[in-house]
Amino acid sequence: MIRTVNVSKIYRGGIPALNDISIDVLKGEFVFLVGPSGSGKSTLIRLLLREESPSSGEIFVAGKNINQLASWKVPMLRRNIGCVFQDFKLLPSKTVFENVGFALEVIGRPREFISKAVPEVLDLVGLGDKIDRLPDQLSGGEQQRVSIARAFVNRPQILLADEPTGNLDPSTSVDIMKLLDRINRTGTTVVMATHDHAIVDAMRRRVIELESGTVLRDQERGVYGYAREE
Amino acid sequence: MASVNLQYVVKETSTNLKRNVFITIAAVLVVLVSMYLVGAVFVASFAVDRALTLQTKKVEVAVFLKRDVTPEERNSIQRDLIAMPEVATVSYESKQQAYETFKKLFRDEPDIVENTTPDALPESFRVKLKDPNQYAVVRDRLEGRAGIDQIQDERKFLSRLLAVVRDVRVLGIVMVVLLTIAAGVLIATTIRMALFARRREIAIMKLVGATNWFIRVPFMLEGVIQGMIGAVLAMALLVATRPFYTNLLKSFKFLNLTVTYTEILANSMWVLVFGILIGAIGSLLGLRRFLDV
Repeated sequence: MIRTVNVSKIYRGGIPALNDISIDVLKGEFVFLVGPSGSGKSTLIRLLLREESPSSGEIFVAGKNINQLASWKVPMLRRNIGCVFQDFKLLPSKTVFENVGFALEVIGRPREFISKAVPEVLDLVGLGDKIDRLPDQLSGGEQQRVSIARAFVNRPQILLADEPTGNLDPSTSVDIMKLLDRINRTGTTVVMATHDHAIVDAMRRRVIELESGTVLRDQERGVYGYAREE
Repeated sequence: MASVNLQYVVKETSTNLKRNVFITIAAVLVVLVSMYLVGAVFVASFAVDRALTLQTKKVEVAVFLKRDVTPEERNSIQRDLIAMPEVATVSYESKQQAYETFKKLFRDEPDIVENTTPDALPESFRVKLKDPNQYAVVRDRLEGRAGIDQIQDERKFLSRLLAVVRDVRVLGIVMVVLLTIAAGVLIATTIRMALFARRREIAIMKLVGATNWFIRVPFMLEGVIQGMIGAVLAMALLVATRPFYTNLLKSFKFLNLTVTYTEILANSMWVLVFGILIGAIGSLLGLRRFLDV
């Protein structure tokens, strides 16, 4: 589903953010990307979304080499990848329904489809009763659920999550992880970048550890690490 | 699906226009002023070109006779003129006829007319050439003949006038170009501000896979609407101010520069085209960097 071949990313005049990364993520896998800040997790996610292009190496998403993708086809790539971020990226002036519907509206989905799909996915994330609330009337965990609903409403093949629990307390984080796990069980490939030891250790999924832009460890059913400092 | 898009575009565009009301007004006003000038240059060019073409057709070579010209000399000059292959028509203007023309030309200055007698004016032959460029041939043949005082090509006045018109037109075009650039840049600025106000929406739109054109269209439409409103207002103003400038143009007695309302409208259609173009180009300019993927 996701394959990177000798991918390096060097920002102008600096140290490589990613250095010769080759990883292979299969369809339906759940993968943690771990490592300290600046290890290259976020860079890798930006490359997968083609917000940036690698300095060298190739990236395949769903069998397509995304570096050779014409720029007008990039939106089609992104429709196939859901995204969740630490800061939720919700629009404060839109209701929960509108925030999720917006993602469908701007890719040209008809209104009838939107009015059916949005309540469905909001039920799935457990916010069926808060459909008309504004984001700042919700807790952090609920806001992240909205953002997950928005990422998933289009049923993408891949869900990328960049520190989705970074702003949440541990018990809320567990709920978010349960939700991501459920989404993963529907066959969606999930790649999650995180700092959170407890979550990684509890989930026992594949762990790819990055440090200074290189893969330090790629382990099935792994844990965060041994006595590693944040 | 098309109807959903249309609805979305209309909604977004009107939100943007409302959000930046003051800068939108400024952009529209600058478009209005520059498009008014563009229109004025178009209408004026049309009127001047038409008047000059008409005048060129009327142009004659004037052969002024000496005071002491004898009837024999006069007759022989006339005979020879008629015989020349380059000449189309020849007409004789007596002192009295010259005086009538003079009176008409200076009807607003009675002092000059009063102090002039028919006798002070020369008699002349008015010669129309088949091809006005053959003036030199005709002149060379007549020059130095007994009874001829002076030979004048009236085109000379006209070419001087043409030079002035050309200079004024260049000046007008320079001003129009500068103002048009100002209008385009101002529209680009309003689009920039609208983009900035909606940067979060745009970031999310890109993230969920909205196409660039989908994001662009409402903003482009905003610029086009600004350009169009400015241009339509400029056209209206051009038509409305006709009494003012026709008055001004009447002072050019020898050229008929008046234009009808229909002619103004027909010539200022370009203004609408220009206005829409400025809006489109200005907004593309404003969108340029922001949407690089």
